[in-house]
Amino acid sequence: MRRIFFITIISIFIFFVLFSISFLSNIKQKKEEFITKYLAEKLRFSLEFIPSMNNISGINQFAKRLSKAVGGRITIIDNNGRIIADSYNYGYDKDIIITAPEIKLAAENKMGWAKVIRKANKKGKTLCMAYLIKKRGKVYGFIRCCLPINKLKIIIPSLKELFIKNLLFSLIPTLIVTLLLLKFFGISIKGIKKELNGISNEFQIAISNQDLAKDLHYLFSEIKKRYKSLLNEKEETKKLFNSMPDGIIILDRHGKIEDLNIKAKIILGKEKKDLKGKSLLTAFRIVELKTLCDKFKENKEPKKTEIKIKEENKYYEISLLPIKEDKVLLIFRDITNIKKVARIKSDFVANVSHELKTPLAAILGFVETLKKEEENETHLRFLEIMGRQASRLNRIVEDLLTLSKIELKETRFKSEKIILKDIIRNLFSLFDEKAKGKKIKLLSFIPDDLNPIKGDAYWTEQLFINLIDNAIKFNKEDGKVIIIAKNINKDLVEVKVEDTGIGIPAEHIPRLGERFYRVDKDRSRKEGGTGLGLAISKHIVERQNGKMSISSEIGKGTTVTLLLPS
Amino acid sequence: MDKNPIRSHYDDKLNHIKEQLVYMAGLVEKSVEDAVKSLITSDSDLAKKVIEGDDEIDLLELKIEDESIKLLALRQPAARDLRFITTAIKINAHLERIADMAGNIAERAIKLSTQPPIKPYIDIPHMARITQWMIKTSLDAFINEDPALAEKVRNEDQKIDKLNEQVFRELITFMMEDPKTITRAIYIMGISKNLERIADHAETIAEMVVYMVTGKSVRHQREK
Repeated sequence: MRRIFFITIISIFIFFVLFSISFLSNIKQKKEEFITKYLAEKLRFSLEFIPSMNNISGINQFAKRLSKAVGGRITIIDNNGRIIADSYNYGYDKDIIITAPEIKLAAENKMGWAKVIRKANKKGKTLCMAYLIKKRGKVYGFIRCCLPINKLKIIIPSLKELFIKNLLFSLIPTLIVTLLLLKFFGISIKGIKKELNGISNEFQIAISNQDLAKDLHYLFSEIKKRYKSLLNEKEETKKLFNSMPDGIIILDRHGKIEDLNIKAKIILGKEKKDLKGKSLLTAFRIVELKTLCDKFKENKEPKKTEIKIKEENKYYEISLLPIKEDKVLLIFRDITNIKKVARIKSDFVANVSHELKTPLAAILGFVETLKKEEENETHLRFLEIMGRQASRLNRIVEDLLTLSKIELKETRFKSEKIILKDIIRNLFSLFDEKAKGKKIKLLSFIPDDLNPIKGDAYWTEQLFINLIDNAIKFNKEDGKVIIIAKNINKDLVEVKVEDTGIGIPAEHIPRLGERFYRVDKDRSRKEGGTGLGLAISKHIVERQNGKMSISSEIGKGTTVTLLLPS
Repeated sequence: MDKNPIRSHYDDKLNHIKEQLVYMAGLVEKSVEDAVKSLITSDSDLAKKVIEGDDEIDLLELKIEDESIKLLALRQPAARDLRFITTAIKINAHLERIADMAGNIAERAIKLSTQPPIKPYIDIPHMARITQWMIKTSLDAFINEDPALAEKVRNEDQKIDKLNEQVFRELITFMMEDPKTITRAIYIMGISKNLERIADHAETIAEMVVYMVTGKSVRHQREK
């Protein structure tokens, strides 16, 4: 509404300005012309009714009536220049009238009339006009009219025409301009409103959608508020970013460093350098990092890996995460101390196990010797128990030693081509007797074209010994142990070890592979398990860059799935 | 600021060559490190890996050379850019030679892995550390266009020469004492010589960096 009001006011203003300019300029030019014409007409017309020059009183009355009608001073002069009648009643000077230029000019003019404009006083000009009084070719005298131009009170009919003409002349362009303005503003405002709605939707700011000015004001103040809070947030995030104990690097879609925090610079020993915009490789010169990022870009899966920075002898766990716009987030976590602790622990376990092994060997040896010489049955039974428990302890110690060796990475894993079929065949003959004792069938489905597994033959055999042993141990009578293998692709082989045993409750599955974790402690102990078999298996698979997963259904059996590189 | 798209594309190409060279240098450094490690730990598997890894470096050499020549032919660079590309081509060849030498070390390491060491290795790992530092630093100088850093590399070469002489003299005494050690000693001499040659290549890279940045050749101008 304000808009229309505003436009109307402007239009009216423009109209009046135009009209006034046009009218005033015309009036100025035409004023004298109108008066002259008007007077000339009036006087010529009055000549028809002028009484005889001899009729003094009649002629005087005529002069007064005419003066009233015209609004000026009327003087009637005879041929000799004598004033016969004057509409003004004050004394007059005969000579002035006779010598008046308009009289002279009228006498000389063939048309029989003349006009003169002269300055009357300080206030303005006077128009004086004289006409010959001529009847039947004879001149009787003059009629003269004087009229002050500025005090024109008479209504001039021609002025009305002029007024209408000017009015029309001003109105038409005003209308056109108004229409154009309306259209222009209308379109602009429509556009502005559309934009406004777009912005309000994007920023989720509710606007009333009625008053444009109010909406604009509200929108801008809201955006300003949000911008300020964003700036604050940005500052806070920056502080947080730089105070984090982990090193963080953000890579753009081309693999160039977009941002990194102070810790990342410290980790990589480049505190003082501006690394933004550089590629990861040129900035840090760590080939492993580049390879890692390249691999990550291919599959886009969040990944964790460990790298060692040579100069400082430190270990870092690097997490790669995808972020929006194809960017990559790299997080460096210092795990040097964790590694150190793990090493101390493994060293301790290895040392303790070693220390335990020596006396155990002596105990076992002496128990065996005593058993041969002992005749007392009770004593023999005791010795039997001692021997059994010592053997169990020996197995645990041996398993612990194996585990710590694998964990410490002291044991070197060879990279050999292993034919799975051969290993399984040997192992089945090894476990044959044990399986027959529980009436368990050992089955294998290994295709002839199975790719050879890439890994260490000794440790791979150990892995399958553990798995088959478990499958037999925790199986039912008349059960089965099935080994199925297949090629996943040219680099990966899948091997499944299935049993038809008692199964493992779902809540235990995530914890399998932890040391000494047993699902059924009594049964495990009865079966002679150490609780380390799966932990060792898991480590062997991981050392060979494979994966191990376990699925189980109670009452139906358990399946261990291995993904091994080929 | 508006970027000239043609110039930008050209800069990208130059940066790509730089990047590839840095990657190659990383692989070469690792080869040298692993080759010497395989010798010390008698790890023939690791030595085999080094020999196999040479193929990737060879491919990379061809790729970098191809890209550099294309850039020379298509863009006809001048002044600093011309010096950069010609230097890159030369560094590329030197890095490839270093990788070959790492392969030579690995081959000897395999042969030595089945025999007992003459004595614990002390100087060889020390030489390896210095040569690795020289490769790394010369490439750092190349990336950062830093002639001062390149100069440091040039000074380090003398240490390697002295160490090589020391190893040589020491091995001769072993051979004189016990002729059975001759085969092993000759292998170790070969390793030491290879490390010395690697250092020479790193030194040449550093000299080329000085030329690239300053436009002045400092080759064959060592202060004595």
